[in-house]
Amino acid sequence: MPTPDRWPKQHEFLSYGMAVLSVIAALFIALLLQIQYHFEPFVLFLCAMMFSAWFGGVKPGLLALALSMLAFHYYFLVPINPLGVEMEIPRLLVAALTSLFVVVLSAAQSGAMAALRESEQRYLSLFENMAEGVAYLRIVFENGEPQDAIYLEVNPAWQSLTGLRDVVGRRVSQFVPNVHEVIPEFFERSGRVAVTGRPERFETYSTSLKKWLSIAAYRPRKGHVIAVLDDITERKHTEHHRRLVIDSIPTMAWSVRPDGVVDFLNQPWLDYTGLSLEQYLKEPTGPIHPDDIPRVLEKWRAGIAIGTPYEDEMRLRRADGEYRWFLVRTVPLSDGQGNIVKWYGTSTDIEDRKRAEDGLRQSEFDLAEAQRVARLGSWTFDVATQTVRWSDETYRIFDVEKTTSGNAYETFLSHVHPDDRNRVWEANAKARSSGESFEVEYRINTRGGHLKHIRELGHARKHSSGAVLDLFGTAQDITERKQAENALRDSAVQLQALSRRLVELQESERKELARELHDRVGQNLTALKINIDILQSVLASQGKEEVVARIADSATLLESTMDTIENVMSELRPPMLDDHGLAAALDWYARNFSRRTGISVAVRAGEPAVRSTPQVEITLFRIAQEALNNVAKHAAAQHIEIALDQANGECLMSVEDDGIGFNCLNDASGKPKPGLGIVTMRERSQAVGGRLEVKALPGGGTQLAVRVQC
Amino acid sequence: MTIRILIADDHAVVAEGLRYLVEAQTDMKVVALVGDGREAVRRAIVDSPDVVLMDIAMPVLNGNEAARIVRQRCLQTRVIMLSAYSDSVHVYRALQAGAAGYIAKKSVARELVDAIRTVHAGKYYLSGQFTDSLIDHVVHKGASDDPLLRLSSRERQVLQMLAEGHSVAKISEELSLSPKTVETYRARMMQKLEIGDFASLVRFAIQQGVTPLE
Repeated sequence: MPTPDRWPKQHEFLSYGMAVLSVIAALFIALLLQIQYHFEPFVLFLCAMMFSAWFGGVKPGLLALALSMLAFHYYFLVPINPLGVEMEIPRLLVAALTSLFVVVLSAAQSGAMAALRESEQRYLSLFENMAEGVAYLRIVFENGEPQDAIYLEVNPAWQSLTGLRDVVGRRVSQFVPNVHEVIPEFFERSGRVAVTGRPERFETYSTSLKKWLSIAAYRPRKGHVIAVLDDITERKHTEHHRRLVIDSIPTMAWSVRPDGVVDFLNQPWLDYTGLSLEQYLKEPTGPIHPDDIPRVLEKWRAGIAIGTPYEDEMRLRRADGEYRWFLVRTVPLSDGQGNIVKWYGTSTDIEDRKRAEDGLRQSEFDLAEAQRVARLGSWTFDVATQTVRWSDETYRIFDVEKTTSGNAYETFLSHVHPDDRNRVWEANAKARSSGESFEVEYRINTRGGHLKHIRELGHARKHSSGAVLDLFGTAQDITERKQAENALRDSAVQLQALSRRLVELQESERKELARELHDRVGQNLTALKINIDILQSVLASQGKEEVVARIADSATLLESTMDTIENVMSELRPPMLDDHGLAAALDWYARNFSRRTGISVAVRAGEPAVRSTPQVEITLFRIAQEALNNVAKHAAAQHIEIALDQANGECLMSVEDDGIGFNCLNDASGKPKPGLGIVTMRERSQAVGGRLEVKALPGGGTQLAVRVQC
Repeated sequence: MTIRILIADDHAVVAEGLRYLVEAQTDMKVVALVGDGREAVRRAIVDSPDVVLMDIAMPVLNGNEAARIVRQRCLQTRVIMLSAYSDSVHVYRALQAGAAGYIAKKSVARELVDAIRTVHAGKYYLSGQFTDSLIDHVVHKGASDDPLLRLSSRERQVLQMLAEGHSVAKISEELSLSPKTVETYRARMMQKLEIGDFASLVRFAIQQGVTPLE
């Protein structure tokens, strides 16, 4: 099978066939003419060649030429000596050249025609199918002014755009009577185009169509206009919308061409600066605070050189002259090939934020300072994550690097002294579960090996549902206070020991003095008294009256001296206390007291099986003495009862009165009045390991009770 | 018949003075002078004196204890206590220990002979000034042994009204006390008297004659 390529195409067959047929037809007509009229009609062959060339192109034309030459030759030069045509060659050449010329011309003509036809076809298709509406108009002038126009041609797009049908040949005013109002610029512009021939493009809003139109008009020939309409309503709306958005955002926005010239400033920008675009362009750095200009320009140059988005902060002048801080963000728009076609920017007013930040920074600084000065750190414990957050001072107190601290609660606990950890943890846990505030004191070990005392206060912050969200509190370094407290306690202990020692010394001194008085002075006085009495009686028997009187006076003086000594001894240390025990001594003292004051005293004191130590006895005796004297001085009592009981190795002595009661013992703040000796009594009782209590009795009166191991 | 006397005093001058006073009497004779309580007991047992003049404050064994032993061992011997103390407690204790007489040393020269004769006659001798204080002492001692006296007068009032069957409300109204105070009084009385229940408290009140039985 022969491949299609090797064979001429179908229309080539037709072309060649037509060439053959046309030559045959020419020959046939020529034969008829030869026979009928005896002349040689070469023109017929020319026609055949022209037709072939026109129909089929150069190649069929050449075929027709060749056939015609043969036919002509064989017909007109009867073949006597074919190709031996010396006589005929010039004529033949002329004929051949003429024929060639005709063939080429015809073929060329035919090609041009086909091209034209094709082009026309294409433009017609374009015209019919294009999205833009096209109208071909002839402008009607009256008095040199364009008044109306006649539709010569419109495409389907135009029809659907305008909604008008069957307009060709009719006037615009027939369809749009108030065309001047609907498209006011239309005739002015199209008239101008029709006259000047300069194409114009403009955008206009058609109130009848309620559409934004982009109209391009040009003049195909004088007095005529072709108008291309494009519906740009949507674009216009988008544009308008975008503009509206840009103008109504509270942020100032702008755009800059790559050459650095600002080409757009939104309304907020204009409103803020009080400038127009034109005013701004005259002095582009005008609104920037003079101090910021060098830095801003440097940054801008660097920014555009790199071509990446960047931010800057600067002060911009408001219309009223006030400078406010702005955050300026600049973003490049690239064409996709790496070339920047525009810069877009926003300027956000951060003055308030900056002020708030400054204020916040200041108050944070103040807080940190206050914490540092007070040695009081703060902390937060997040219940959900079990983590702690510390203030700087807390880090300082714990002597922990802020970076290495870690946030886990366990880290914190690891600093706490092992003996205190449980307590701290329990306080925290209790606050978390109960929502109650807490206070806990504990010790921490610092890196330097120091022991610090911390006083921690915690407060639970709750959700509205009552659940504990976090604990917030303070940690105070109370090491110095603790040390001072300890020192104070030590010195108080020392003071107490000293005062006990003083009391003991006093008692032993008194005892010693009383013994000395008795043993030395008292005994000698007794001896003197006896001897003086003897002397007196001997001398009296000898009748020496004068001397006897002197001796009698001496005896009296001596007796009163002995009384005095006895009293002094009793005051120093009642002899019956050592001789007969506490009960007897209390009994004796009570009786003397009653005699002296008129207050009745009942002593209920059984003789103990085993006497207490002398220290306990003297202590209880002195307390009873002091108590009775207090009652006499302050209580306005009628009756006092002293009870002394011994049981289970414990002595209980109570002194009750029926006086005006407790108020006389305490001052307004509830502390014992000074000078009542309550403190001394308590000291004395503590010195022998006892406890002293003073309480009000119902119905008035006071009870003082001492309990001591005996 | 001579009264034989033992003198016990650790002060030599006093002892000599006493001897002088005693021997100035024709019917009295000092059998021994001793300087402490133990010696006094020993010599008393050996010599069986009629009267021992005993200093109350002596080394080794004090006068009271020596007197107690002497009284036990020598039934006929009478002890006179000599003391620098003139308080009732010492007097009372000395008498308790078995002394038959008590003389203040300051008035010993005046009273000694009288005292010896009195106790030797089987009677008690006290310096005049001690009689009052001793009576006072005994009265008070007795008083503090009376359980009723352990109560204050207010408490006794409350006890009487309770025993008479008055309600707490009534008592509080009568005595212008709060009911709570009355309750407290009641509780304290029971505590003081070591009485466990209210019925026993009322019985106690009737027994002690706080209120007559009708």
